Amino acid sequence: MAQKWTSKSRSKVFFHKLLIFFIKAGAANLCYFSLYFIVAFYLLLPSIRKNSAHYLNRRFPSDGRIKRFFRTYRLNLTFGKILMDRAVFGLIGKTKIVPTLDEKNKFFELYSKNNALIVLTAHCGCWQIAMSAFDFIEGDKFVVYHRDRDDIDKHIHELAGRAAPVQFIDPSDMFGGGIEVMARLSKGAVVSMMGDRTFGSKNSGVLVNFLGGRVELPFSVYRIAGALNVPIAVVFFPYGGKGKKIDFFVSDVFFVKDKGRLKDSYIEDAQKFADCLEDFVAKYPYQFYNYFNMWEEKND
Amino acid sequence: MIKTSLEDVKEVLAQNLDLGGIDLKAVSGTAPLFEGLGLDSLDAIELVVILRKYYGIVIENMDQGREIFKTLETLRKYIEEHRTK
Repeated sequence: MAQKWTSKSRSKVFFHKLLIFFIKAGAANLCYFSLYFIVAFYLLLPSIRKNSAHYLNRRFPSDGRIKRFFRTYRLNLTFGKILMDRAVFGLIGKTKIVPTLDEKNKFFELYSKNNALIVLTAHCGCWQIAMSAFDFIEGDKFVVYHRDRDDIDKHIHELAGRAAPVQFIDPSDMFGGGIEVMARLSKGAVVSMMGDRTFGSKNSGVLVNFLGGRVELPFSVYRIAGALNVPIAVVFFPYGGKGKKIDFFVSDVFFVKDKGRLKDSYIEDAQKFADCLEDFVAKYPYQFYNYFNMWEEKND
Repeated sequence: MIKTSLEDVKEVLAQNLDLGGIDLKAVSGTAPLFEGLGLDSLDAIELVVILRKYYGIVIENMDQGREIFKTLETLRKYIEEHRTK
């Protein structure tokens, strides 16, 4: 199945630069205020409504057109606020997820016992800053991340001119990032991966149930976890409002058995992740940001 | 160093990879591993698993992987020089 999503920002370079200029000039509140109008403008574009509808139709199947319109507005406004917070607080170095002592102890123990950890998350909530939550773990931190060549969206550290707090593994290399991920985990790293989008090989996904339909989710993360006996922590980071502390939503922690190479052996593990994601969107319906049709029928 | 033949390596690969009907016995040792055998990113993971499981070899990084997985012969040579079982 061809890749159906893109990481590219929808806005233009000019608007990004303008936003950064206003934030640096101390006019962040003006940026937040203008967001309400910018999102309203974007909603006039049929493509934005169409791309938002893939998810909203599933999450709120009984909605009429008016209700759907307002939900689309709210979904995109929340996304805009998350991106704005990331830019505003990232520029001054304040964007950070601070886990509770209990969460810290739990993860510290999990990491120490296994000397590696996979943090499995999704494109929801404040996923872009997920790894800042794991500062308390000493091991190297990696994020499997693909940036489209002409994407203008920047990381927080790039906006602030700081060194990257994590290292990136690009899944678009000829080995799909798999070799690098396994090498790093073998050396005691914490690796964050996205469990909701397939990448690379057309055989990289398995079909699972999600929001009343079938979606294709990647399975290689479970194959790797099983082969190396590394635990998977399914964690999401819900947005709590402008400038507010970002929660640490630990949905599940589990080990995967080494079940060999056949992808169907890992359907139950991918389903476990899909169930976690479904719980998340039940609680935070406006924080799911996959703007493509995940439920599209497989046609190749 | 534990002597390792190309045939031994081919046999392990044939048992553990989905080669889509390719007869490894007929493939030259100098044939490119990925382009030649039509392997993909999922097979790359399997190759790392095979090295760990059958030969006790842990790939250290991506560059090393790129060198080792060039051809069947580079793979065989690396196994021979580094295997612990």
